[in-house]
Amino acid sequence: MLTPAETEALLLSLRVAVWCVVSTLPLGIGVAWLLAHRNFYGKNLLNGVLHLPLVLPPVAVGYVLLLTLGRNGPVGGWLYDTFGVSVAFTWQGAVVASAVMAFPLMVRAIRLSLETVDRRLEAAARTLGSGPVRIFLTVTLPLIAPGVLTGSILAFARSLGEFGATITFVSNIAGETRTLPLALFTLAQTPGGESGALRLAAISVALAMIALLASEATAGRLRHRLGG
Amino acid sequence: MLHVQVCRRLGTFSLDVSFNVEANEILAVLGPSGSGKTTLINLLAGLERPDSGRIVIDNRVLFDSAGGIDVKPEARRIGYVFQDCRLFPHMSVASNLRYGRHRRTSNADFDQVVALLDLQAHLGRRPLSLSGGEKQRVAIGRALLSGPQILLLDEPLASIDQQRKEEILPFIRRLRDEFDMPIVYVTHAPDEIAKIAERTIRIENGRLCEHERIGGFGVPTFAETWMELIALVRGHDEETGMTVLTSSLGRLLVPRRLEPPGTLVRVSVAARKVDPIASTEADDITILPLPPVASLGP
Repeated sequence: MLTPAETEALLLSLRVAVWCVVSTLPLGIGVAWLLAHRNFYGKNLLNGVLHLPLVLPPVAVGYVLLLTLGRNGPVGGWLYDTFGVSVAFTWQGAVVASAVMAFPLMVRAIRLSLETVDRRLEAAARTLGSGPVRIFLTVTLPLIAPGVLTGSILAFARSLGEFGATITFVSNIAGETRTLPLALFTLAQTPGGESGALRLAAISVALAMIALLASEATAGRLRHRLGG
Repeated sequence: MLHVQVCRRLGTFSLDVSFNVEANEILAVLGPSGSGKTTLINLLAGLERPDSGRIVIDNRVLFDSAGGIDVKPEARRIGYVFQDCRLFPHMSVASNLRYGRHRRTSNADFDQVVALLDLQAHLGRRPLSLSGGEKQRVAIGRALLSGPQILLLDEPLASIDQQRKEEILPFIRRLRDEFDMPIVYVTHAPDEIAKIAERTIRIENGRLCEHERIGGFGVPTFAETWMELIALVRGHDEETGMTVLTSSLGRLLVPRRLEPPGTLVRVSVAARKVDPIASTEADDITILPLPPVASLGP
């Protein structure tokens, strides 16, 4: 049904998307909490920078990543000299690119959810002997679970669809960085590749539908657990 | 014993009060809305910080502006029953009740509290499906099970209909008798006070107005009526043939009763007999049968 190259692209896309969500989730929750509950110098600036990937052309984001994280860039060069690692032109780089693009979506969803949590419940938990960490784990986190789920699904979907930043930062290397959209693009550019492109497009639609349906079902169950 | 002396300014409003509450005493804090009642107990719980003052429970200093001491709310061991209950919606009743139990200091037994508050049938339910009175009982139980040294109740019956109030008030009285700790009860409903409090203080515009025994509390409806209250049979005085009861009015002596010590009875007392006195010795106290309230055992 699928050619080996198409299967490879599909599996790579899923791997990149899963790692994108897993690696950004803790930071996403942390940043959302800061933005929802803390006032600090430079909060608006942080908020603005976070949202830049939503409004910039993805190619520009990829280019900035290449300049900073590439082996000749300030951060990428330091990483290579110190640890001998480089993410440019690797699937890990594709994770970085899609994580940067997906991060604002994730933070927005979690922040909105945090802002609806009744902080009086947290005060009640304090009078019952819980410190901040236990309160977060036992009260706040369960109550924002639907928001965390929504943020994760959005990030997952954004990562699956990521094209511009990925192709600019880590290029289009078969088996390494050629994710589903890149494979689709490649086939569409190749004479006789129309049927393959169509199959990949169908797979993309199916993946997106599955993710959405799963998130709806899980969110519904979570809301039911919260008694809503 | 709880000793409180606090000052707190909020814009043009300032709260400045000092008072003591004995162990095994229910102190009612009265006052109109906005008088600073809730601020006062937030200060006690550590959810707000006094500008100056001192809060001590049983020689444990919780706050002392001079000494720079400010114990965090989670370390104060204060049971706070909020007006809006604040039950955790994502947990069952049982999980709510157990939430504060991770404190190793908890001395209240789970089964005892569940029985006391009559919550056995509700342990598996979610807070949203509970009635107002049930929620409030869970909130009280949750606070009790966190092993507090003092209980603060902020208008716990404000959003509950009269019939439910009648259900919960005896529970609050029992708390004091069973757990032997000071209880601060904020309210603006005089009928609640008459039923449970030993002593009242009144706060207006952040200042203390009066300290008084409940017997002197001037509620006109009690002038020539009968007051009903729950009393505990303490024992029998063989010499005089009298039975000793304890109640919110203090010690009551009544003609010999058959109930064994530890039984709860409902007592009706002529209101004029309950003027500021520590004990009442009278023959016009009648004891009514008390079917709905279970015996606590000796």
